[in-house]
Order: sequence, then C-alpha cells, then structure tokens
Amino acid sequence: MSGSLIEIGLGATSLSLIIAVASMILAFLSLHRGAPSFLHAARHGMILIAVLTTIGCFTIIWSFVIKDFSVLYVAQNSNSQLPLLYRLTALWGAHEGSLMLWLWYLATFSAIAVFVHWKSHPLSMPYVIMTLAGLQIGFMVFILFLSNPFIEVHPAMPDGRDLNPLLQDPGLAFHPPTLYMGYVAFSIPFAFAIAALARGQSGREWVVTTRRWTLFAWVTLTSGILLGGYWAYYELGWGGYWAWDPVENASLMPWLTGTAFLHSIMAQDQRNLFQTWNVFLIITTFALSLLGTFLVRSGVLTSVHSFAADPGRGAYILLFLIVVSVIAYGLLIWRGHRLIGPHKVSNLVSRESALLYNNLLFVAAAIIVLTGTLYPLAIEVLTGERVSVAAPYFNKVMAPVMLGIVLLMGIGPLIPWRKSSYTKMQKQFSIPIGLAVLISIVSYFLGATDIIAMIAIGLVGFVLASTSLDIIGAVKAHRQVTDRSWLSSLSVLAGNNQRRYGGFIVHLGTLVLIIGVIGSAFFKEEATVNMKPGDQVVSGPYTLTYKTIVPQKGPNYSERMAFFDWKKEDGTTGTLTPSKRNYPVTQTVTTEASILSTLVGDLYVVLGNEHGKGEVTTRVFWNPLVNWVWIGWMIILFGVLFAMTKRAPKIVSTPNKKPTKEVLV
Amino acid sequence: MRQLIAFVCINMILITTPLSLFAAETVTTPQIKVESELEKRIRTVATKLRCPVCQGESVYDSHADVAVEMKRLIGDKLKAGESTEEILTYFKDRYGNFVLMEPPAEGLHWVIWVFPIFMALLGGLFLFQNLKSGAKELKDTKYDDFDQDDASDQDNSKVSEIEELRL
Amino acid sequence: MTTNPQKTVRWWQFALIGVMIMMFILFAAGLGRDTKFIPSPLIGKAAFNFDLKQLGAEKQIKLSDYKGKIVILNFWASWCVTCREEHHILLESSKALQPNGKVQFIGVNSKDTDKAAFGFMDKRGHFPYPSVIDRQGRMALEYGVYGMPETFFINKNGVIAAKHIGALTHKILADKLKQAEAVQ
Repeated sequence: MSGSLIEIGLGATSLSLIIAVASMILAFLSLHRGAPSFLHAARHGMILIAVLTTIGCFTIIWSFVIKDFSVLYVAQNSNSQLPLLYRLTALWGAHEGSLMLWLWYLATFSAIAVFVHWKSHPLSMPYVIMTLAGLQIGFMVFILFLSNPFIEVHPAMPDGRDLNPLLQDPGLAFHPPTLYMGYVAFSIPFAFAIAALARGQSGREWVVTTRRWTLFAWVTLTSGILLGGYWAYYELGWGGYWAWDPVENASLMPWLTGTAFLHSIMAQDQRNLFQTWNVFLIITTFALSLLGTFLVRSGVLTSVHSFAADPGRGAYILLFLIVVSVIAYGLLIWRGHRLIGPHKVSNLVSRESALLYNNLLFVAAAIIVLTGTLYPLAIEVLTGERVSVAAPYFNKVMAPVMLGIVLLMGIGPLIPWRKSSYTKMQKQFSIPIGLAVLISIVSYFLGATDIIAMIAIGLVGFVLASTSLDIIGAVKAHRQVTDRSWLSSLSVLAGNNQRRYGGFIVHLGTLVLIIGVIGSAFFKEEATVNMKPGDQVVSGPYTLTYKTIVPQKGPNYSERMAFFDWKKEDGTTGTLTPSKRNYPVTQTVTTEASILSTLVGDLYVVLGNEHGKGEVTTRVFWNPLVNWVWIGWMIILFGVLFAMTKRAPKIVSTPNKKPTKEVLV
Repeated sequence: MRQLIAFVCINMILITTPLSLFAAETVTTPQIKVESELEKRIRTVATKLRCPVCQGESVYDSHADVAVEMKRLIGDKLKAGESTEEILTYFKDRYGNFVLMEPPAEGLHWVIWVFPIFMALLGGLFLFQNLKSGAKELKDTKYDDFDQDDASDQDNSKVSEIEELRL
Repeated sequence: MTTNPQKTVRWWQFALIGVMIMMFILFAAGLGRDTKFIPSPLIGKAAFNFDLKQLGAEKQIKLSDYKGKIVILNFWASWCVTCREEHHILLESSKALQPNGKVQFIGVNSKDTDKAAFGFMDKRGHFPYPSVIDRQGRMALEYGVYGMPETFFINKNGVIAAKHIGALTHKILADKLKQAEAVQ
C-alpha cells in the first residue's frame, strides 16, 4: 500500500515535467500566433504543476512519517527512533529531497506569480511563463533522472540508517527551507527581468511589480543565512557563528548582490534609472543562487576527505548553470541597450549616486567572496598546488568594504534625490560626524584598542546620530503643521511613508546586528585551561567553578557531562553542563556546548579532552553582545514586514511604442 | 597573678587570630585558573594553521584527532624554544601550503591580495566616469525643477503615482 | 547611461562574456579532477628516520635499519574502516615481494591501542612484517598524514619516492613501487 504511495509521488512529478514542457511551448506559441487561449492553457499548466509537485513532496514526507523503509530515501535518512519533528523535516535532510523542496518552492511561487500578476501583465506573461517553466524543467529532469527521491527498495529495509546526530536539531531543520525560499523567490523578479529584456521594455514596471517578491526573497535569504549562523554557533562549539566556509560563502554571494539589487531598484522605481544595471543584478543574483545551491553538492569545493559526489550530477549542474547564464546574460548583451531610459544621474552627491556607491560596495564584496572562495580551486587547476583561503583572509579584506557600507547607511537615505549640495551636507552631517569621532575616542578608553573596532563603533554612532536627527527634524516639522504629540506625529509619518520608515527599521536592525558583531568579534574573552574538580576560571563578569564530570546515557549515545557552577558579579548563580557525546553506530563524537545567554553577552563553555581523575581541558568564552545579532535580525524582519505591507500603486503593463502583438486577456 | 593570666590570654588571642585566619584561607580559597602563557602562544600558532581534515576550521578550533595532536606538538615545540615561523614551516614542509590558513604572500599568491583592491579601484573609476559624464551632459540641458525634491521626507509614493499617470 | 552608448557598451559585454567563460572552464576542470589527490611536499625529500617500539615485541625499529632496501611504509589502525579493504592486498603483496630481499614492508600503528591492534590482526590476519607503535600520532604528523590508510614508498636511499592516500590496490602498489625502484 505504502509502496504505491511513493509511486503516486513519482507519477505526479513525472507528469509535471510533461506539463512544464507543454506550458513552455504553449507560452511560446501564444507569442507568435497571438492566440490567447494558448496562454491561458499555459497558465493553467503552471497551477497544475504546483499541485503536482505538492503531491510529490507530500508523498515523500508521508513516507517518512509512516516510516516506510521501502523508499530508499527514507531508509537512508531516517530511522524508526527518529522523533516526529525530524521525520517531517527529513525531506531536506539530503540531496535528493532538498532538490524536491527547491522544485516545490519554484512551482508554488511560479503559480502564485502567474496568478497574481496575470491581469496587470498580459504582455510579459508569455516570457515569464517560459522562463519559469524552463527553470522547472531543468530541475525536474535532474530530479527524475539523476537524483530521484522516489526510488524503492524491495524487499523493504528493516530499519533506516542510524540518525545522523548533527541533523537532529531544530536549527538545522529550519535553516535549509528558509534559505531555499530566499533563493527561489528571486526567480520571480528574474523571470520578469527576462520578460522586460525580451520585450525591450524600458520603464519601471517589472521592478515595481516584483518589489514584494524581492523583499520577501531578501528577508528569507537573510533569515536562512542567520539561522545557519545561529545553528553553527550553538552546535559546532567553536564559539563563533561565521567562518567564511565555502558553504557559507556560497549563500552569502547572492545575498550581497541581492541587497545591491534591493537598493538600486529604488532608483529605477523613483527616477527610471539603472534599468540595464538592475537586470544585470537580478540575473547575477539568481545565477549565484543556483551556483550556491549546487556548488556545495557538486564536489567542486570539497576538502580531502569528503565523499566524492557523483560526477554525472556535477556535470549536469554545470550544464544547467551554463544554459541559464548564456540565455540570460546573452539576452542582456543583445537587448540590454533597449532598456536605457532618458534620465541620467545628475550629481555626484545625490540619493541616486549614493545608491550607486552602495552597489559598488556590495558588488565589490560579492567579488571578493567569489574570488576568495574559488581561488584555491583555480590554483589547483592551474598548478596542482593546494592552498587555503579562510577566515583570516576574508576578515581582513572585507572589513573596509563593510565599514564603507555602514557609513553609507548613515548618508544615503537622508540626502535628496537629484542633487544635494556640499553646504547642505555640512549642515546635515557635521553634528553626527562630530559625535562619531567623540564616540570613537571614548571607545578607545573603554577598551576598543583595535583601530577597526574604533572606526566601526564611530560609524555606528554616526549612522544612529544622522538618522535620528533626520527623523526628529521631520517629526518637528510635522508637529508644527499638525500640532500633534511626538509619538502621534511619528506614527503618522511612518504610516504615510511605510517604505521609507520600513527601511529605517531595517537599517536599525542592521545596526543592532553590527553592534552584536563588533561586541563578539573585538571584545571576546577566551581561555583554554585544564581544570580539576574545584578549579575556577573567570570569564567576563562570571566565575565558573568546575564540579565534576559524569557519564550519562542517551537514546543512541553515551555522554560525558561536566557540571560547572557559575556565579555572576551581582551574585546570581546557576549551572552549565557542557558535554561530549559518542554515537557508537555512526562512530561520531560531538561536543555539546553549554551556553548562558543574556542581553549583555554569552557565557559559552566547551569541553576538550579528559586527562583522567576528572581533569578536563575546558574552553570558556565570554561573547559580549552576541545576542544582539539575533535581536537585530528580528528587527530586520519587522522592518521588512512594515515596508512590505504598503500597498504598491497599481501599474498596468503598457504596450511598447512599437507593439508586436497584443494579447488580450 | 591576674596580670599573668591577662598576659597569657592576650598572647593567645594575638597568636591564634592570625593563625586561624591563615587556616581559613588555606581551606576556602579555591584555585582560580588563568590561561597559561603557553596556551596563549599555542593559540597564536594554531589559529594560523588549518585543520587538514576539516572544512576550513583552524587547528585551534578543531576537535579532530589530528588537530588535537598538532596542538600538543605545537606546545612541545614552543617549550623547546621554536618560534612561530619555525613551527609553521615545519607543518608547511609536511602538508604543503594547504595547511596554512592564509595563502603565503609568495609566488603567484599576491594576486589574491591585490585583486580585490584592483577591482574596487576599477569599479570606482568606472562609476566616477559615468557620474561625471552624466553630470556634464546635464549641465548642457535646462532643468527648472531641481529643487522640488529637496524635502527629503517627501512621501515617495505620491511621486511614483504622479509618474504613473504620466506613463 | 553614458554619452557614447555604442562604444562603451561593447567593452562590458566582452568583459562579461570573458568572465563567464573563465568561470565555466574553471568549474569544468574542477569537476574533472580527483579531489583525493593531494600533492605531498615530502615527495623527493628524505624520509624521517623514526625510532619506535615494535608492536608486540620489546625492540626498537629504525628506518635506517633498512637502508639499501625499498621500504613500503603503511599507516594503519584498528578503527580505520578503509584499512580493512586494503588488508588482504598488504598480506598478499608482502608475501610476494619480501622474499627477494629488495623490498621491506613496515606498518605504523597510529593512534591505537595494542589490544585493539592485535584484535584487528587476529581477526583479519597478521602482517608478515613488523609494525611500529605511533601511540599519539606524532609520527603521522611527521609524515604529513591526513588520515588512514596512507602508504609511503621510500627508495633504498631513504627518499620518499611516492605516496598513496586511501586503500591500496595491486595496481596502485605496483605503479608506486616502480617509482621507488626508478631512483639510482
């Protein structure tokens, strides 16, 4: 019975491939025949594909839930002891299933986009459908022929492989789906950009239409990345949350260009600028999303002892990437000049130019991450030598770029469109600059001896000061006219300018995050000591006393758990229990850190090796302000929501000056 | 007689008080451990080395067996008086440049340090050129509504709706 | 966006195409390579002359004891899963090659206990050659070992001629042995 369930999933996915091909052809034909019924059919196809892929995913998830080990994927990635939560999330626990998730997102988002924008974009719809269907076909072929999660084994396995301890974790359960949502959501603005290119359509329509998709993609991608960092922090036990690992970098690159895109479309929206550049940015962002998804699976960026990926898969992935890039960038090269509008950036100092500087910095950052990540590969291919490019390199090179971005955060949103003058800038920014310098100097005496830390703190102060002054000025002006209270004026202003104030909130969240980064990077205290029972160590405002280490048993592991009593300067006390776990079946040893989280910082304890008689090497961290990173993220989420709920003005797709064929809906 | 008793009592108090304080200290003062100098030096060296079997972790951060043994070896070498450079060279001779966290600034590798700066300058130059030419072009045309958008807090949505109507 | 669209538009197009082509070639080449192969800087250098206690006997063994012979140095451990795959190759090859007196196999039992090592050998067959004890893995570091099994082919002058990471096969062993023989 359950065998046939997975067959339904396979059948549904196979059918969706056929329909995707059909939709693509129909959409194409509707262009040349001018027959609206073809386009209608294509649209129905897209919606059907969403339904079918939902069925496909559901059958896999259900097979996990009912522990159907006749399905190979279920047998390889779960076990009869696996708790329900992890059975539900096991779909994306490995390669095949995570691709299915990607496809499901793509199908669902495509259906929604086609449905929502149908009435307002009849002329772009054929191209949008063709693009999205084409991408879907690429994934479906890969899944069905090279990474099939629906394969059955007969007779059914008695039980699954033992639970991979690393995967049994809420952080890792939510990180992939959030991340993939971000990657895939960029496909919608991508599809509309392709449509704009194909139609030679200058103007701002596609950008305005897809604004919410862009915001949604950006915020989910940001969340996915931060969830990954959070998981790494509490699970991997080295006290940090970002290591410039190739896998992490692969997700950061589309985020960097995606953020550049998010900002520069404002210029297209407000002033009809940067059309070609924006198309380039979204193509690059989506291409990097594809690259990011696949780079980590293709075997191209692996270390010595990783499992060699199937060369067939790697080759297909590369081919797919080449096809998408050639078509998209090819279109850009061939027809990009048609998108150029009459306006130009008029002034070196204006909102538009600030957005350009923003783009320069973010794209530079993306290039740095890309080069650094691919450099070892390039050197190996060229000379056979193996080198490492890791955290020290990236931290050094990225620091100035990131500082520049912070500086711009405090200037860009506050200067007017078209032009500003140096005298105006002086008025606006002299107080914030003065404050920044003062804060910098004060921070030195409070312990910030690193020059980068001083500059960073000064810049944060600058942004806070300049933005607050601007908002205060606006509220003041508003009160003079309307005679309201401070709070009331502020809420009215915010309500009328949801996008602007949403942006302020997001920037504020970013600042909070940056403060968290500064605190945990520059003011971290770390100590590695051998402790015998009764020994104490001081870290930050805490004194830790090592009590004892005892054996414990878990469902499938044995554990050595140490007990540490902590006492804070103000007298509060508690216990921390770091441990080491041994999973005999998979022969893995994990270190479980014990963390005490407060607003001021984290006390973070990890065990090293034992030396007999209760003596154990202990690594203790005091990570100041690290939780501000996660708090900042929350504020960013809120800000995006605030900006997103602003109703976009209705834009109806207008025909070009020389229409090809108008398709009536 | 009374004076003798008083003298003995005072002496007893004088002698036993500091003794008792001393005794109390030896019983209740715990061992506060501080990271040893050697450990600090091990950290300096081990954070410059890459764990050969991990995905980008430093030897210092890694819990892998190889990394743990490398840290022990580094400790022994530091005790024997070797410098950071000598220890890094020791591992480099046996594992290749791969084991260094940063590519050495020798041979072809200066590329990776210079390239980002080069790109940034190039990008900046290109940007600057574009802006200058755009500004120059604008000088030659007449625009009379320059100051309309000065109010930075203007409701941007209203602007876009107006533009929409013009479309 | 510029005053001369026709002229400037061309250079960025070329730049874009160029970058794309370079990246794709890089990835294609990257896919084709063998990620397991790491060039060892020790090849062509003198092998470290270890002086370690033999496994199961109260004597010390030095590498220099075997000068004049080709030494095949194999790092293994009882907990190493891949070592089980190559175990029979080692037994067969050593039985075939050692009698001629030109080749000597030596095992290095690294990061292991005597008890577990003997358990491994009792179960799968004892080596017809000595193993030395590298209790903490210090010797493995000396040889730039990443993991186990790794095998070094040292020529009769004590220079490392070749190295193999992973399980041996008869063919690999023969190939690497030839490299060790090639030195005068």
